Amino acid sequence: MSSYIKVGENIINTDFMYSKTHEWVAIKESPARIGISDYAQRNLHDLVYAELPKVGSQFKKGEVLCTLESIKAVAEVYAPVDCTVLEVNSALLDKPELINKDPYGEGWLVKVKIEGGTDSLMTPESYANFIREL
Amino acid sequence: MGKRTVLHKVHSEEGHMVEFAGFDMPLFYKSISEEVMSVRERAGVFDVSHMGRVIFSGKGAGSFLDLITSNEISKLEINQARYALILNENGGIKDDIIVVRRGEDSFLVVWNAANRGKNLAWVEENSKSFDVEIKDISDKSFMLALQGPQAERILQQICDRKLDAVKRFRGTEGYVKAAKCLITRTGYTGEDGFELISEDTEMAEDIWRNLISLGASPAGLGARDVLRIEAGLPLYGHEINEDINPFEAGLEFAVKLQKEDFIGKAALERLKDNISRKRMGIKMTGKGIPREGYKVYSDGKEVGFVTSGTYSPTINCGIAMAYLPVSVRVGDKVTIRIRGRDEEGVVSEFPFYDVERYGWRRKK
Repeated sequence: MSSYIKVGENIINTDFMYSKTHEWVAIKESPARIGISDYAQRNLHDLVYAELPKVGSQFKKGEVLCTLESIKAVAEVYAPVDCTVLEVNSALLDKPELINKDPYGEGWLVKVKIEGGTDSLMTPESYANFIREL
Repeated sequence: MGKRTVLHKVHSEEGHMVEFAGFDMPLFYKSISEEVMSVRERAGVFDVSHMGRVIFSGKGAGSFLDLITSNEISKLEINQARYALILNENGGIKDDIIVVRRGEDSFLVVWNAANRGKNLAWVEENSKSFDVEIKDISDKSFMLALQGPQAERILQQICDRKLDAVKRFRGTEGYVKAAKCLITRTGYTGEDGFELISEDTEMAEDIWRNLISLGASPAGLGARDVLRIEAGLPLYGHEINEDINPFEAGLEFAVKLQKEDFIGKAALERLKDNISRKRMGIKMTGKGIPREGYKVYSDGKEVGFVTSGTYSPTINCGIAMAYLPVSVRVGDKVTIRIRGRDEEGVVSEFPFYDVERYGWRRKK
């Protein structure tokens, strides 16, 4: 069972590491899943379209990994680490709302091979402090 | 921090706030798509108090409004409302407005929040030789829009006038709760519904809460924008501006060239049969959601640009309004470039939805 930290109404899954741009990485998994945090999905509410990368494509940390669209806005998801995409969550093509419903579970975006370090990522506790300050 | 409407406290407690035209306004309460569907299927209530409300009164009010708008205003009956355009000398659109005749010599004009200052200066500058008094009541009144197929049923429960006698684009004075209101059967969603304007601002919150407890969903500017795009209604700053004329915008129904004179008339007579682009709809068949500024292509050639785009929760696809060459026809295939990819769409009529199922003309 996963455990969680709550900051206001936002939930932070303690199994994952986080970026300042609100992506999570399941660094204990291989391949590692990447998704967006509960905080991010609340701000993007009403997601209606997910544009996912091609399997095999490579990203440097900070490059645009996916594009998510809500009714009125376009949001970019950045690669939280250097990585190669091994699998995408094709369920999101028909049901992008899974990202809103279950951001740490069924709403995962991609599975990747992490190519470099993960030192820049925040622990769940530091991410909790980070969003407390926002 | 922007200006506030009298309902600011309610919105900031329950809504997600954004700044729009200098006002702090609710973008949504729970979800834009749910608010859109509430209006299409039941009823939604919007605070639109940020819009400009100006009373034109005096013996010369009707003839003055005939001069500064494109439509026939002095021919309106009392309690009749009409859509009209304020034009510049070149025939470009300064704003689109609703005019309601309140009495023989009294008219209420509602115009866009973003144009309040510009319009007021324009009407003051042009009214010097007219017997007309211009009074901006925007900041001492509120305005609510109750929209959707259940709007009449809901409003009737707190209103002293028989609303089924108020036809589309007609109005009445009456009480809603204890507030004296101008009630018009108008709106900006494509649905049946009413707009209420009242100077009894202390009653605004009570009316708002009553409408919600009677079944209306609170709805924000996000839903309002999606609803008007689905209905094919233009918005100043997007589909219309001072460099676009009414024929290009598909608003010729609001232009009465047979009228003796009005600002912009001479230019419009030249432009009438001389336009190269027209406002059209595009319904996406491919992936992605068109957004303002995206380019439109036909047979690989750039032919126009998107002025407003959104995902439509009513018809479940991306939709857009765009300026396209007049040679483009409804049913033609075009593509919209979305993040470097060309996604397919089909040129469509307005409104985008099935009018037998949604909108004020629907089968009851």
